[in-house]
Amino acid sequence: MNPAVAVVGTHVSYLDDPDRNLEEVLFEASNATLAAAGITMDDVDAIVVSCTDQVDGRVIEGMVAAGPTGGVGRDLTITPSASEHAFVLGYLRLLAGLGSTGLGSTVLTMSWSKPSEGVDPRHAELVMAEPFLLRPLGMNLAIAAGLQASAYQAAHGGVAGPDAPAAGVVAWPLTRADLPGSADVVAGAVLTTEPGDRPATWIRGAGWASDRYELGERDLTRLAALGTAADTAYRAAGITDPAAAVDHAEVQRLSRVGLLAAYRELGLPPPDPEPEPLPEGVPAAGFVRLARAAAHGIAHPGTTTVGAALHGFAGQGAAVVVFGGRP
Amino acid sequence: MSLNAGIVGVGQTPFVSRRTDVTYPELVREAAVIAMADAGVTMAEVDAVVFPLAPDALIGVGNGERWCVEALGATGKPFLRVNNGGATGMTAVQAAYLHVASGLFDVVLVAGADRVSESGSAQSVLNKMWDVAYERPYPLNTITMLALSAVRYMHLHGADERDFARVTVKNRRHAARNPFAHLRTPITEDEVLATRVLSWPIKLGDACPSSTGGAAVVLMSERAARERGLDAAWIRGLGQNCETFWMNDRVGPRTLGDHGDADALAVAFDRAYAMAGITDPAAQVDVAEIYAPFSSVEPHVIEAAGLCPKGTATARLADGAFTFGGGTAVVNPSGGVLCTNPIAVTGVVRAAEAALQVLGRAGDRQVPDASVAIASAIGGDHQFYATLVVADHLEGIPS
Amino acid sequence: MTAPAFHEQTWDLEYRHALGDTIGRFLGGLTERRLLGRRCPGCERVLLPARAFCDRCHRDTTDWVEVAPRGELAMFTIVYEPFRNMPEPPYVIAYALLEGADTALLGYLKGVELADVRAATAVITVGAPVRVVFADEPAGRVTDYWFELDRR
Repeated sequence: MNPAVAVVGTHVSYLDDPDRNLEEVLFEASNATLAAAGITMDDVDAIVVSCTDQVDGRVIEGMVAAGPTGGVGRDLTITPSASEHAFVLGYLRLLAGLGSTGLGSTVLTMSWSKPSEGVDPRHAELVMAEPFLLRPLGMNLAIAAGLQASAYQAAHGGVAGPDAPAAGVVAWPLTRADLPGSADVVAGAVLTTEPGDRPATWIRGAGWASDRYELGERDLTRLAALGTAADTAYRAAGITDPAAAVDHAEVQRLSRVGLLAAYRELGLPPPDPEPEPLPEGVPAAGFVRLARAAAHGIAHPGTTTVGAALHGFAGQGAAVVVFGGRP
Repeated sequence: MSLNAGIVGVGQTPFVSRRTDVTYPELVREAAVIAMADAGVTMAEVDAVVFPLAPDALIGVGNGERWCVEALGATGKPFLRVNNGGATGMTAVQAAYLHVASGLFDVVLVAGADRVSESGSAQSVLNKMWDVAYERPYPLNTITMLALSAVRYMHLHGADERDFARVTVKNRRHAARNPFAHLRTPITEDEVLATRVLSWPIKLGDACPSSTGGAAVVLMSERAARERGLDAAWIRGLGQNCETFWMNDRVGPRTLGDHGDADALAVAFDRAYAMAGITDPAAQVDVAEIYAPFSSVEPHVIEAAGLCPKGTATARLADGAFTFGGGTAVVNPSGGVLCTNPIAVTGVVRAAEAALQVLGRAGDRQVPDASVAIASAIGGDHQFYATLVVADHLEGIPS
Repeated sequence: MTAPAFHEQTWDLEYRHALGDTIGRFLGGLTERRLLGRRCPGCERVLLPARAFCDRCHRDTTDWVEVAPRGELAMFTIVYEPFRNMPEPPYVIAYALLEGADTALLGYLKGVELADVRAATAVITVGAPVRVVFADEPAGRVTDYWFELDRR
């Protein structure tokens, strides 16, 4: 399919000062994203943001975030289920808007997580568990990642975990080092159908999907939603041999083992050595990976970059975006 | 490429205070099944799902939409949730429209539910929508917020409590003909005025109920709808806009829009009207399903929709306008949000009711010869506005 | 048919929200019985309570501006209904436009008998002059002050 939507600027920042006011941080990040894209807020036709009430401690967080992200006087939508959905919905809007139906040509997308607002962010993950059977047992992202890792290990072997409790096991077979750390992060990306002369990377294909909620009914040896999303994105991009076609991948790491599972779904060889992990144990992590992939695409024209984002327990949902040049 | 899309199926469960027989995912499924049957599609034929869910805390599960994937037969499908507060349902319909108009999907389901009264502390939850330092220490909630707005409207436009009571009377009369509505008992102006004061001037009779129930719509591309020989309520225009989050910024000579008016909603309507080619809404619109959770809100949303000049709605209502046989657009023939408010899907209900009207399938609440309908929803602290224009035809809307 | 079954649940999530320097300085001003706003260099409005940026112009605010402790009511409501975790009614929540500020300040209005709503709304009106009164020992919270009708 002819690519029609480009990314012209991205921004990712990790906050080193937890005492910063969240709304002020968002305001700065929106301006940093616009600057990276070489535009002003006047050029923005619509805004899509993703944030998680329980992490940041605000109800309908988009309300207080609308102002700092430029929403006053503009069309703003909040997609809380997955940070990467802000990017996806922005993309859909621009595709729908081609042919001037008044939907505009430029969308600012943003996502953030500020776990430092919460006294116990892991506890906040517990409320994502359905209340009847799962919550009384206790579930959070680390435990879900452990379940996924144990299943993958049983199926594929060769990913031995630690034996001794003293190795700092969080949820067997995963140690603290195997699991993503946490950080306050805010990110943005500007999508447009009219990049002009600005450095840009084009969305060649995008796919997203959600697997079932019940962990016991999922095949945890796989990240099926990621596989489905990758198939859709590759098909749209005309990629039949990802290992040959893809130059660089930004893949969200649910855990040391989850990363291997993800590369398998993407049809790519796992990186060797494993790159330095990002502190991506927060909802905004998915969007950050897409923003990084786009940034790579902008910086390396002529290459094909894949961004892979995951959300939910053991990567229940996923999105894959392929970035490349315009033919 | 922008393709045409329309609503080809709707589903609502009768709205009540509590449903003790179903879990939240089961309730969502109930509405979805009705809508898919209405559209003549199976779950397998749905290409993507958009899920409206407002604050997670009200249903008690963080990211509770993920819990509903199986219930909607959405396993393995593109599945995306929106939350624009009370506007969520309408924003979800708009997002579904974008899915279809993008050219990537032919059949998109919007389905959700709410169970507002089953959170024992809804207003305490909603207090946390407000700014951490400056506003949460005060007992702001949706009732006090709208009471403040009503006081401004009264001051700006000379309205009184009886003017607002008149709105409740009209909407209850409409709801009596709507089998899905929550509050369906007709009421008189004096009865409304005699109800207990919640937050002056808002009395119990001026306020919406906390409703439990599900709502869903199926959107289809023009190509898919024609292939199946389906009538559609074609989406001719849509728009969204945001006002400042700060209520304290909505008064005084330097405000962009008074808290008593709904100027930002008017902008959202203008965006939808421009897409639809509507230049004179008062003449061109037959039905308006416009979000007004309290009686005092309806006058300023009628004005924001361009159905009459600013400040004149209460006088027009007193003259019998905006109801059946009133010689104008009928406002909220379903009874509106004032009679039924399942927060997360209230916007879906507006779209569904507007669609039913132009499809000629609104039963006893049908507005005769309805061809063009508008729908709107409001979210946050009167901050997010979403608007929709639907019609039974794709050609130019007659003046 | 079995009786309905229920699962009781409370969310007990705790937060420690970072307020930042601008809000911090505004709250500090309250301990000195001062009302401090910030001016936006774009629209020149004085935003009270102080905010670090203007969401209309999308710019940082700059100068601190002290605002007078008097003005008039812009809007209000009288709450009679008890809400969980909120104060015992009746009480008045009001927004007042103070001299020197372009946005209104939120606060309780005290000192008016509220039992009879008709009598109360005869004196509590949009435009009624008010003054800001501070607690004897302000603690740096927005409830350190309240409004009283200024019957000059």
